[in-house]
Amino acid sequence: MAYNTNEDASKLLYPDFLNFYEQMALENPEMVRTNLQSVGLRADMYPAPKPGDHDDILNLRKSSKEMPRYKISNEARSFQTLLACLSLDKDTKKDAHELILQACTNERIMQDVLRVSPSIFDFDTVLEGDSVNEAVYKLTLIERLFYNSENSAFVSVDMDANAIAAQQELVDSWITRFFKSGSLNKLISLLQKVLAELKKNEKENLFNATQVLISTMGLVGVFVSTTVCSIRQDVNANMFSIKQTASALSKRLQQGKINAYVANKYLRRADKVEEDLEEKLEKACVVKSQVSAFFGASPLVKPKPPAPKQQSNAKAKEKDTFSPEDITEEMIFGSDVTFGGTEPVT
Amino acid sequence: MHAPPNELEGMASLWNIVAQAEEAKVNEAAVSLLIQIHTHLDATLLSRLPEFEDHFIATCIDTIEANLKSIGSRTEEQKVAVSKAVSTAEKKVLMVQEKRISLAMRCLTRLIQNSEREGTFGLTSHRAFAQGTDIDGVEIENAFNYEANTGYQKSFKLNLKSNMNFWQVKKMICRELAHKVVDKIQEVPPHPCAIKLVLKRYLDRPIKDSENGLLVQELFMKAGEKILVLPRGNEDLLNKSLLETGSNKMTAMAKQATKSLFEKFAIASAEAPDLLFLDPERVKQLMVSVSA
Repeated sequence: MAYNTNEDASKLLYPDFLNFYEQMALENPEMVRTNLQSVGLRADMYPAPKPGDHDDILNLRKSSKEMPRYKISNEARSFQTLLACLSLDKDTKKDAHELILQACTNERIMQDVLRVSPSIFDFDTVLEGDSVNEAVYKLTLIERLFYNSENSAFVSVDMDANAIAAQQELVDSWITRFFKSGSLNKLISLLQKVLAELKKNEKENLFNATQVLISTMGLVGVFVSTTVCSIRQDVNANMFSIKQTASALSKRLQQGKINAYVANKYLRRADKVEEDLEEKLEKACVVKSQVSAFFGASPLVKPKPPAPKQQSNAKAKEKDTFSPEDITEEMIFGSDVTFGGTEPVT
Repeated sequence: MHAPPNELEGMASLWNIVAQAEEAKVNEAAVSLLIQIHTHLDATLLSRLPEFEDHFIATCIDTIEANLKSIGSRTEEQKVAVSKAVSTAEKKVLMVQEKRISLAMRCLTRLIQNSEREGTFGLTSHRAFAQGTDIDGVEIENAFNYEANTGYQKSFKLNLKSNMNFWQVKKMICRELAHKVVDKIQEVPPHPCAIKLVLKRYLDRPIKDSENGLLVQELFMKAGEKILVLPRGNEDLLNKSLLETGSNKMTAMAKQATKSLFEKFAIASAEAPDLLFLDPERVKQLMVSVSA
């Protein structure tokens, strides 16, 4: 006990004990770390959590709002700056997109969408400047909400069964509120506006218009099919195309299998989507070659799969649910048009 | 760090290296150093960590904005040249601003990852908002608290969603680790920071703490995947100094732990009950205990 300075050599007091460990911390820090680990001190000098401590007790930030993941997406300046980077070249856009996906969902936009606030369709300036990127973010968010009742982004592992059920009900009621707000008409108006813009063939707006067009087309398709799915849980995968949806709904209405008032309302809207889309699609075909001239095969549209149509329909029939990747142009518009594809339009 | 990061000399140069370094390794080292400077703080500065991280984010956003402005002010000729740039060499010369923007964004990504080493506060990425797919039957091998005849499960299976992050998975595992098979008594679950996960499919690749916020799908996990759960050792953590900088005195936390260790084995003196001491036998017990 060379470190023991006590008169009674058989008794080691705390100051000498500390002196020993301070000396060892210089000479053999690993030994000291291992020793102190036995009383719950970690190598990073934080005390190991005890039973009952909350999961994030070792995090130096005090709440979720202090986390960089939250701040980056919810501080207006940083979020808008990242959105602006989505208009840059392919590589930078990819990095910006990756960071936006890494960050949290923007709360302001999320609240707008969940409250079905009128401002979620405030698309007056959607084709000007950077607002297109926010519009696409918003449209994508709406689209994802349709699928979200069992999403872990809503359902945390900390929730009990009641909380999960309440959360799912909230999302389900959101779909109804969203539908009742006349949102589909607003989406169609946006679609019309975008197509009109494309027809003008003004180079500076083409790219923005194309982006919004793609998002809106996907969303309208999802909107109609999801709404129908919510009426009939056993709805067949064939209803995924707007045309098929309208036809199936009409049939069920004639058979008296669904509430006539509700179905009529949905049917009118589904019919209108179909009419509008078919009409506008013809115009879209005309501008397709112009868009292709600027952008080649649009990077925003996935190339059509080489499989014949019959095969893809068969695949669709096998499924009872579908994901955003399943929504193709073909599904929405039929097989005779490829917007932004490789075939030139004459 | 004993001084606020933004008050340190040479910080501007370090930010310049991050924004301009062409060598990936140099850039990586500079970003790591920046993160360390902003997060490895002296005890007196710890409460200001969020403020320093705000400053870090603001500096990155300033860099991005400045370069966005430069891109916006390109002449028509420059725009055409940039749009025609195909080779890496051409892009390197013509698209300097884009490169700097990307580097600043990578700094932000690293900051996010670093901040979640000890928990995510329930936050998930925007990517997690997409519909998750089921990843069933992920096999968990319990090397954390399993020993023969203790009643703890040797292995169990979990059903995950592809859009869960790894912190959520750790929490699920902790709950399972608290269950005993024999008497079904639910004990207090271990803390997620106390467990270390090793993905078996990836040649025993340990999941780093900085990957807590990554989604199951980002780790390419599949149904039937195996995860080994180990108790966390000191070797997995970033070592911090036991001593105060520039002195031979222990930090407050280390001193407190040393005192706890002393008190755990000390006995009271018969003459003065408040006076604790270790006799040779107690020292021996202490040494055996800490070595084990």
